[in-house]
Amino acid sequence: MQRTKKPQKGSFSKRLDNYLVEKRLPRSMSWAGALAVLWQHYYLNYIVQFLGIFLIFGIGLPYGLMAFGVTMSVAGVRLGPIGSPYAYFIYIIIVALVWVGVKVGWRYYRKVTGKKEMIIAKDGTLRERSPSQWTLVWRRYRKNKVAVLSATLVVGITLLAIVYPILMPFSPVGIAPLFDAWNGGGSLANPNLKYPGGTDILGRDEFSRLLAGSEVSLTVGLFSTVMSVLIGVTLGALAGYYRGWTEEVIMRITDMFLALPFLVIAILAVSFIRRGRLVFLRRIPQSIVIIVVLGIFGWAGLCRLVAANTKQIYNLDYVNAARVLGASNRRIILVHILPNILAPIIVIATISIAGGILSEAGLTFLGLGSPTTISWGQMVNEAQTVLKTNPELALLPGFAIFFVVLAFNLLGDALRDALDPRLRE
Amino acid sequence: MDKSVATSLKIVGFLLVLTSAWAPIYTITFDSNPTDIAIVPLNPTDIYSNNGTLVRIFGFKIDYKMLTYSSANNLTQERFLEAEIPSSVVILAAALWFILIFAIVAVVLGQVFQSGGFKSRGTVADIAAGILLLMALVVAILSMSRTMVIAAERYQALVTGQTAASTSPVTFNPNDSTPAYFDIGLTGSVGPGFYIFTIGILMMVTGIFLPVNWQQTTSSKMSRRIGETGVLRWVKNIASLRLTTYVTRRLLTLVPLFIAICVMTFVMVSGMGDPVALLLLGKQRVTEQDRINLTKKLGLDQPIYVQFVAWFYNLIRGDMGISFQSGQSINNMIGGLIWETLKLQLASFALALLISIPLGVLAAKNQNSWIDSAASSFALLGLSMPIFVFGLLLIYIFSGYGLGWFPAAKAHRIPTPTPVFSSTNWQLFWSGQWGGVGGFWNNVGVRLGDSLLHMALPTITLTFAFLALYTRLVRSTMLEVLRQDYVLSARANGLSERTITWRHAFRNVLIPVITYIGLFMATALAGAPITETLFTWPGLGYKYVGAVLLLDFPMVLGTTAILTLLILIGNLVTDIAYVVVDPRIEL
Repeated sequence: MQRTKKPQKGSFSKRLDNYLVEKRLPRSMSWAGALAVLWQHYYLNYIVQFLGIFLIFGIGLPYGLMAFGVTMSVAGVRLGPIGSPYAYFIYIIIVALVWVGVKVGWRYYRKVTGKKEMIIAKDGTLRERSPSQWTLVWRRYRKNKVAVLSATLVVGITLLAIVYPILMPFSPVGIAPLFDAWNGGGSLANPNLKYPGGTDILGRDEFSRLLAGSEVSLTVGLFSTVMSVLIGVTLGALAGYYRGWTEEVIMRITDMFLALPFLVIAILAVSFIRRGRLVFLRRIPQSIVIIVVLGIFGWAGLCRLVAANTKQIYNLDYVNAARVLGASNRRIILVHILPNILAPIIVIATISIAGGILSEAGLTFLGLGSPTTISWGQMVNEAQTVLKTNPELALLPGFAIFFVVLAFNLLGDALRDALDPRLRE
Repeated sequence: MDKSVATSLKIVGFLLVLTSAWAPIYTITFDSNPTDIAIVPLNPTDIYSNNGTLVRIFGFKIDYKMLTYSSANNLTQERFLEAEIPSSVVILAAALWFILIFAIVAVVLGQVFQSGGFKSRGTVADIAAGILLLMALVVAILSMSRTMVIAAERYQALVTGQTAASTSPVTFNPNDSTPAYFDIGLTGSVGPGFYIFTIGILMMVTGIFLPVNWQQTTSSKMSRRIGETGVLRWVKNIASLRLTTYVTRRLLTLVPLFIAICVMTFVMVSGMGDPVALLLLGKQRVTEQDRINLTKKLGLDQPIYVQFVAWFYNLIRGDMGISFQSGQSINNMIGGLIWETLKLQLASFALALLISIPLGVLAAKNQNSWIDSAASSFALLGLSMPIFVFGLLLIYIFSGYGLGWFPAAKAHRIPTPTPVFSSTNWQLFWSGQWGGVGGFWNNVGVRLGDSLLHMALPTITLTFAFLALYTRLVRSTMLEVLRQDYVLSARANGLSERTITWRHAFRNVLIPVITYIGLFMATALAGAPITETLFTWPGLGYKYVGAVLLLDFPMVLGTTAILTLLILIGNLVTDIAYVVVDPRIEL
């Protein structure tokens, strides 16, 4: 870090003087400086933190524990089961994502609420930097009480789906309550203080199962949306940017997926994978199957929207300017076009999380679930036979679905209002 | 060269190709004579001779006709063995069908494009058409030679008595087979149909590649005069509309789309499980031979592409096959189920429209008032409520567990009341027993009341689901329309608020509503498998889920194909209606 020479007195421009005083050599000019910049560059920082959490807790801890468990079992002490490694990896990824998300959110929050940044305007005067688009969005969003409420709900539900194992009073698959009939347990017990949701036919604790079901619902909703957004946005941007044959082919494929009766094909696909002739497909866990099916059959609408928006932006002046400056196609798509069509994508993605949760519940309700997965739709399906005596067994998971979907729908509406105020009028 | 020459060459060629479908294109004649007269009386099967022809071996239709002479009653019996066509010939035939259809479409397209001024597109279509037509010729020849080979194998096997060892699925009754001491002569000859076919195709190809200036007005006086006549002028006017081009293009993309979806569905369904094992489950003393026989009977022994082609060929001819589970024709089954599903869907759709349109308009007119927020939150509730939870709630409250007002399951009570359109009821009608208990009107009333009672809960459930969607749609469109300039000018002109709302704004709100009606028509039959399963409603969706779980392949395939077709056509009709209703949209 070094300063430039002090400016000579009586330089011809006051403005230039100020500029030179403030100007420093970029730190990336030296090796150490470049490393520091790399470390302090906040995007990279987040990636490093994400990877760190994943490597330490996702890889290091389980293998360490495994070694520890082996050692202890040799010593004669049995530890409890760690659980499925896949599920554990997904927890860790979610934890890391939430960590990074909280940090990014905090940064934006500070940026919005903190001191205004001062800049030198074109005419040489000092003034506040005018707020960026996302700042404006955040301000609009914060004003809306329903929006804040829905965001809180969604964050709360997501946290619940991550930390539910420490909140569960009983195992969601164990039948310990069945043998506890004198203390409020047994089969088909009514809700009581020990078993807040009652117990189901097999004598499992309904409350624990409700908590455990949140995981599958949210995982399916989130990851199927991620998948369909990835496919839809990629194909849509390609189709809208490269016209001609690319567009023709992609749009015909999109038409094909739009013409499929969604639920009918989803039923077919799930039963093809879960109980089909291709035995190696049956090993795929139920929730991943549903994620893949919903992801593959759910991207067409988004693709069409993205293609139309991309086409609209393609001919705008700033895109042409970027092209004249020699930007590559990839750069134009990623830097100039995609950020400008982000608003509808975010809204549709949020709403499609709700749709994914509903579809998952519908499919498992129809009896396409796996008996080893805890899913709210399947709980409703199983409880239908005892609707007369124990309506809470069907209605509790049903209203849990309703509650989660409502939260995501509210969030989608609020985001739409905040991102595109014209629609609000 | 005048362009009328090329056009007439194409038309005449097409007519010739069409004619050749009715003329035998290839004939295989076979004749069997005993080699040694002395042994013949010892023939225990009492078949004296076996001769006849295999006629019309052509892509369009294949008959194996067999004449059997029996010495016992001195009668010649004629048997058609249509069911025993070898699969390779079926595939060739189907291929010929598809190639010819696409070739004809390409010829027409080339003609339209070139006379419409799209020079390059016309050339592409022409070259494609030429290649396809020549391919059709090759496939026809291939199918003839293949048929000859198969016939030779078949009858050679027949002669040597080795029918069972044949690898092909064709099987003859061993009692009918001719013993080894018969000498069979097998000859194949090209029939007149083949010459017609070849000449027709060559004429079409010549017509396509004639160097003709399509833009030039024709010098033929007759063709000009024909072009001026009424019908042709109409055809020209319609063909030159942009809407026609649009519809044609959409229709043409629809065909490969449908085939692609069918292929995808077929592959998934075929991999869904082993229906033979499921059907034989629980049967006693099942042998391996039974399993093989059943597999053959269901047609599952053939490779998957053969199964697909055979199924698709039948689908185009309007036959969706026979159910694995019940043995009924799928056409009949689906025909019966569609009505039950439509009854539910149409009732709830009409109810939803009746409620949502006034509600949405009211909410938009009183924006940000309590009416608006009530309607919006109502819509949000409907959107977020899983359909089966709402249904269960209704069942719990209104059905036998609670108030007991409505039945919770099935479409009719047991015993089922006499249907309105049934022979017994019509007999009552014509014999004059109209009133009274057990009379015509009584039956009608009982049936309708029963129907309505059973429909109530599922209809409310579905209505609630539709309502949310439509209310939001109507509200947002109405808001958009109310912001337009013409509404402002109408208001400035001093029109009453009611006139503005219903005369000016509401008509424009109808545009997206029409779109939704079209889309609804398409998806209505996809039904609500969830609602129907919840209420055990005997409709398409419920039976579909059952068929998937019971591996009833033809039922699943038939339902999916019908639904896909309906959705495709529904989308097309919606788009056209959209264009017709709203002329601002460019094609």
